[in-house]
Amino acid sequence: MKIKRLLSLLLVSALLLTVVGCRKTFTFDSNRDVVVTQNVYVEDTPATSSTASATSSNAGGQTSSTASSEKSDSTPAAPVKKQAEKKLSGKLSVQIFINENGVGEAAWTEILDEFEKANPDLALTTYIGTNVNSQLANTWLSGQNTPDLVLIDGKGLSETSLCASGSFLDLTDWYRNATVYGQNKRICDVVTTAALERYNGKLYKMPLMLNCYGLWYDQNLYRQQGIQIHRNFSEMLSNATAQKSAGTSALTYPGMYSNYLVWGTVMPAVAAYGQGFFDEISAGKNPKIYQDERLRSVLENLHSLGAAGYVSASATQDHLGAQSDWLNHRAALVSSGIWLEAEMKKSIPGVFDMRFTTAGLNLSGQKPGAVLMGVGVAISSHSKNAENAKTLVRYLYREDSLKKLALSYGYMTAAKQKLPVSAYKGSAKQIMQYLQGKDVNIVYKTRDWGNLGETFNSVANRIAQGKLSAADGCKELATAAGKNK
Amino acid sequence: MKNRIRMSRSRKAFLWVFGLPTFLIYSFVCVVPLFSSLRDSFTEWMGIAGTSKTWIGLSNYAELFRDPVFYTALKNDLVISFFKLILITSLALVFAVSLTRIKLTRPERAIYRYFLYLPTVLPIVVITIVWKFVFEQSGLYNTLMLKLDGRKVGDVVNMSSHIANHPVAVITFVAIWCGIGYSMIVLITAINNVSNELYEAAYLDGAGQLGQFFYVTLPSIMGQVRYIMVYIVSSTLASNMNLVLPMTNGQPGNASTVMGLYVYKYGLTADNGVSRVGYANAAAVVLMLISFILCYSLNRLINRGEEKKL
Amino acid sequence: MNETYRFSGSYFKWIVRLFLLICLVLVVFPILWLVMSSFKNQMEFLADPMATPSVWRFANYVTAWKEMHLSVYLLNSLFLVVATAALHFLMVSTTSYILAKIPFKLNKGLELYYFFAMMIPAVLMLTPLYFLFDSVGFTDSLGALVLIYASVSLPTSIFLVTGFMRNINNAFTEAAFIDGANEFQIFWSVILPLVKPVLFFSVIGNIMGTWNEYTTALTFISTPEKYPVSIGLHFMETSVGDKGVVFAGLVIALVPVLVIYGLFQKQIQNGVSADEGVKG
Repeated sequence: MKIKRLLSLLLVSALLLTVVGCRKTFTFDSNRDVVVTQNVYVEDTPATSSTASATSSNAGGQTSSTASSEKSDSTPAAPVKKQAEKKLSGKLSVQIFINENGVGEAAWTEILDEFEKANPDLALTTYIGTNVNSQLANTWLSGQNTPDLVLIDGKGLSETSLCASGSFLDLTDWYRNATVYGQNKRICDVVTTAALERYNGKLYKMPLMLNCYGLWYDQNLYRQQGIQIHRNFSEMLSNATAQKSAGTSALTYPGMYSNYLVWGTVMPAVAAYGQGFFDEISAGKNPKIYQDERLRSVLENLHSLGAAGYVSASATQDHLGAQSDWLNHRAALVSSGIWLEAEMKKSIPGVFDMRFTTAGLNLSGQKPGAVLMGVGVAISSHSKNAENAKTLVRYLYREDSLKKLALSYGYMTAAKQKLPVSAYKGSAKQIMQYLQGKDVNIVYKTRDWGNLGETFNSVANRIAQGKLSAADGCKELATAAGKNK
Repeated sequence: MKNRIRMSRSRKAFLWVFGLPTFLIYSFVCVVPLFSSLRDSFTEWMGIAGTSKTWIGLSNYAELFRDPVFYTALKNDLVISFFKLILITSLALVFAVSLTRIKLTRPERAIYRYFLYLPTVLPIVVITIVWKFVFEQSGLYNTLMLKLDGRKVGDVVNMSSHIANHPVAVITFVAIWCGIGYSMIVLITAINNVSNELYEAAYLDGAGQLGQFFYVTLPSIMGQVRYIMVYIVSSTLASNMNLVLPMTNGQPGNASTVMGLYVYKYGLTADNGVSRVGYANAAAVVLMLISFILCYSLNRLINRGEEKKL
Repeated sequence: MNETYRFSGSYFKWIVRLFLLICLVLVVFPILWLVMSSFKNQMEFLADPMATPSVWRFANYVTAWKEMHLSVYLLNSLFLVVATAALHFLMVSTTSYILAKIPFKLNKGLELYYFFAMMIPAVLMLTPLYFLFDSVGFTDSLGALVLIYASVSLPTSIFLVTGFMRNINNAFTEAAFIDGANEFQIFWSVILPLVKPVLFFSVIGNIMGTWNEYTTALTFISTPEKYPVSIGLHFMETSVGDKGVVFAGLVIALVPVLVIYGLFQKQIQNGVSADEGVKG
């Protein structure tokens, strides 16, 4: 019967496909996807140009040109004592998330290539792409076959969860004496120590760059409307009124992911009160601090914006909606991170003069705060190649590695020695000028508030919609902080 | 007796070769996880291998019943299920009757059958993207309203987002949109299987067209109606989350969360904070119990209703 | 069939027609919108999502196909679907036969046992299921997915098919037995053909569920070469910056669904199928 034939065909093809399936060797050629590269170079002489790192195996090091100690700050890097580096052998695997616009990919690839050339006997496996976090998520869950080094970035990687579960290697002791690759300098002298984030007092993440959230605006639009960008809340409010009559709402953000709202508007205003206050708020453990007058006034400012109808975002809007609103000048400000220009490059209609500020909910006369958060790497505690991973970390702290990364991402470098503004391109120039200037109060995010984040997002979202009063919001936060272990 | 004789070798072989593997696979995939889930609901666990699984007894359940968000989720689930039940059943009946008992041309019928079932086979990604866009603040619905009113399209910023203000309503609408197809098809089959004689008899008894529907069609397909009603409720409770997560993510502020999403947020995602698999499992167990109770009661209710009618 | 006693009042008919037409528009419009948007690029899309594209960019489709490795994903999904269908068919038909026709001691208990999991949504069992498979080292495999998909809708399918099988008069099996058929032959040649409609439809329903299933696949598969289309679509959405290309990819992935649905429409609709209720 026909049905029998069809069924037998089905069964046979299933069997065939099973056989075929076991031998699939589809490979991906686009390097935007997960690329698994196992490079084992034959003995190769390392480059001897300005990236000279590994020296020949002559023991005894080289002479330094000048004093080996240097000041911690503004003087250009004094020539350092070079140091012999042992060539690595064995394996090393690295997980690097790259966002959908390929930001940072070139820099990472370059740096990793250099590192490979310097260590020809090392088998380096690189997972680099947009979906690496999801793909390797199960390895972190089960603790088996985790990559040795991971860049903490992107969706699908929960830093809190991994720190809490002990999936990362404790670097507190190692950090104290670790030196930059090929040099005598210690990492702790290179990096901005204030930016180090500790979890329960332990150091897991080594920051390479500093990210920041705030408000983006199109200067062209402002010029058109004859308004100056605000520097504090009263200016923001008066701008908003003027803009509303011109048919533009003041602020938009992705309602579904309101952490953008929290870090872009609320936290900078909290930071305006100083590092101490900011630390308490971002720790998420002390219920009393959330009833503090200062936090309440910040939230009240947000509430008046929302209640007056100056916030056009809907509570369920996603990224796309917020972008769309902002790009079409339906909203003047969008709350996001400093990477926004790179993300939006392909979608900008017309000519935009994209600029960034963290001012907004701060009081008049108060310098707006800016929260710098470290973007860095961590080593897996399940790693069998921890020494190799540590060496790679040391390599990443070389001056040119840090520079490549910062310029490629458009972030501020985590090194004490900041890059000159002129080195940056595009809107990053204005951002660095703003952040490195005198009109901001810089604070560093060093605490992790765990599950309080969800509550804060939800509270801020509703306040910005005018649906929750600041006082009630503070109460909710205090309760949640009390439950936060 | 006959049965004893027939426990032949080939029968035994059949049992072992076909019955056993199925049994094993089914147990492994469906039954064992149920028990580990139950066991885990009494623990506090991060879900990452190697981390501690501390036994905390009924604490998870106690916490669950104290959490206001749980009750919001439950309420939303019940509301959505209720409206889906009523609307899908009635609409499916209307469509089924229209496409079988009303004299429409064959091509017409074919077209409608194809398209009205289509939403059910579309991938969720498509459905959520499209409908989200329609109901958002600057979406199709608002733009259409503006155009009809004759106002500028830019005015859209002053309009409210329907999905944000009435998330549950929008979700119910979309769920009905993609749920009708299946029920409709089940009913079409059922109606087609009603024998002509019954209609003849009713006609002879003087029943008009409406009478035919209520006295012949409806009672004959009651079994199928009962099936789809139970199906609607159980599948809603189980898979609501697939719609809610991409469309509103529970926003604004947990107002549109549902049980499935509640479990998912605590158990499987770890985007911010630490996941609590034990707690999620407790919620899942409660959800399963509620689903079971609801479906069972619904089943019994309709059964009794059927008996009363006869 | 039921031709003679239908409604033929024209007034009523036209109301019904109008209603159906409205619903038709509601159904078709999202798909049309999707297709229309797939010809735009990101910029145009954000500018006005509802406008027709000024330039019809067929390049989007080429990009989507090449960059998104859709051919690989489609093959994976095809494998999943065929293997699941075959396994599901085997499992359901044989187990229903056992439950309906083979009386033995544990029969009743077995039936309840299979019923058990009817109310359990697969999504909620996901974590324990993952760790369970992990303990035998069977994760990141399409085979694992096949096992799961085939088993999850077992209860409903078995429920249906067993009912049908029970209704088959035992006279048929007796006759075959007297003619010297062994158990398997009775099963294959006598019973199966009689229940082929219901069986076929439950399998088709299972197929539809498998093609679109997303959460379980996401949890189990981690190498990109093994993704089925549903995961591929999701990742495409998050990893490609140009929404136009994403929509083009979505449309391409839709085509097989529409085709298969068109071909098997009658079978899918003419029976009580048992899909996984993915849409809630």
